[in-house]
Amino acid sequence: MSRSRYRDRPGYRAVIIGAAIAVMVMALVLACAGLGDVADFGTAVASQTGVISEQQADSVRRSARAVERSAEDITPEQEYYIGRSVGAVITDRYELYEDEEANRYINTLGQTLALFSRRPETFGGYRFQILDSDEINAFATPSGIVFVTRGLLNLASSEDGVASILAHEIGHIEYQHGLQAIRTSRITAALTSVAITGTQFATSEDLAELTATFEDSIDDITQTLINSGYSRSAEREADRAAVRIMKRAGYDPAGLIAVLEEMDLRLDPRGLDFAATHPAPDSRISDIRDEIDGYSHTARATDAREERYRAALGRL
Amino acid sequence: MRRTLLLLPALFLITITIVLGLGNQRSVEVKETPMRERPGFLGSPLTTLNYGDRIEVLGEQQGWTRGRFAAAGVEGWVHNSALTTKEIVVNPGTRDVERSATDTEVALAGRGFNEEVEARYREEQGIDFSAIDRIEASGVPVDEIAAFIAAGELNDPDGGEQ
Repeated sequence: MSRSRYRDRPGYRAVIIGAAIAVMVMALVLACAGLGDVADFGTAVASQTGVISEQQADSVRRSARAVERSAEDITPEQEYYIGRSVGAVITDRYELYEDEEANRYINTLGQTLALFSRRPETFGGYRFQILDSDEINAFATPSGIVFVTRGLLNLASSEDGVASILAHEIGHIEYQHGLQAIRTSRITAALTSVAITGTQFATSEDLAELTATFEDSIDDITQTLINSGYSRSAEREADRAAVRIMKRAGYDPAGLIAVLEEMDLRLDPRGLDFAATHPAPDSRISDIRDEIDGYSHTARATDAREERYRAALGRL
Repeated sequence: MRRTLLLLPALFLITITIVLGLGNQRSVEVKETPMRERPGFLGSPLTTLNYGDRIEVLGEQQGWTRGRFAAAGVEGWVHNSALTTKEIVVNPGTRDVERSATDTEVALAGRGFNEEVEARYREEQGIDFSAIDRIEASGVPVDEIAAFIAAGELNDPDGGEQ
């Protein structure tokens, strides 16, 4: 049978049009179906066909949703409010270093570095502030406010060194290490509470309950930042981010090693600052050497960097 | 016949692409972000987008999305870290709340940990937030950052080395 004769057969056109419509409808259905809908559809089918009871189906839907809640489900807006309160706890405990020029320098340097990170924009943006303390310490609050003590900044002897300190803190914000310090049970409680799923705070008890969860979440983070510290792997991630950010920005990543070597000399192992919350500097140095190796940097501390660094932080 | 049948998968893919393309929108998930003429941080902004604003995606390039902001009739570039595929509903009503309960692609603005919760927390803890407010107001203008980069002989953040 020749092709032309085949095409002329009655009904051929109807079959083709029918198939085309079927294919388009299938595509339409698939394109419109979200993954969540598929899960709901699955449980609906299972309950209708008697495989599971309606009650069981309900519970499957609920637990599927409960499992979904983790640090990543916190919206940037909520992360911002968490960050503000964590920051307020820190400014409540530490004096701010009130030197406009020094803070302006740190803020400009930090906001510049953030542009080279994987997360240049956060809900409220990045801000950097010096704390008037001899402690060797720094705190990155969720969503972008970074505090760094005079004591830590004094370990650096160049702009590249200061950049390494700030870039490490940006790394914590990029990876949302702060939010990960919140217990999962609290996140689930907060994200499924009536305060979110209702159209408004139904009663003042709803607000009180959510505020209590908020307070516990802030405590989880500040406890981690101030007392227990992040995990070693989180610190390694932040160090790697620092090296990556510095390379992209054109700073010498070896500036981080110089700061850590100085820290190793000055850190009191019994101290309640970085000594308590961070892995030992020498172990961090060996971890990041591999990251830096093979970087044929053309970046060298320039006179302009040296000059502005001394002008801004010379009095610390 | 065989050749005509081979066209069916193509038709299938084309339909999927068109349907998904129609819904290819992004929402701004930060307080505000500039929409720029070029994909880069140091360029001048065409307009400022606010939290929850929706743009229609026209293209993507190295971490930037080109989109159309219909409300202002502007087309330009926005950095991906300021955008989400989720729909963010500002001033949600009952129907939005219902949708958000079953659809993880819908987020409600101003819900959960918000200004009201912060105010209550502040009151209960007796913590002063004025320092935080002051720090938050200390954003550095983009031209100062550009000057800082140039004077320090740093790399261009928009130079494609990302």
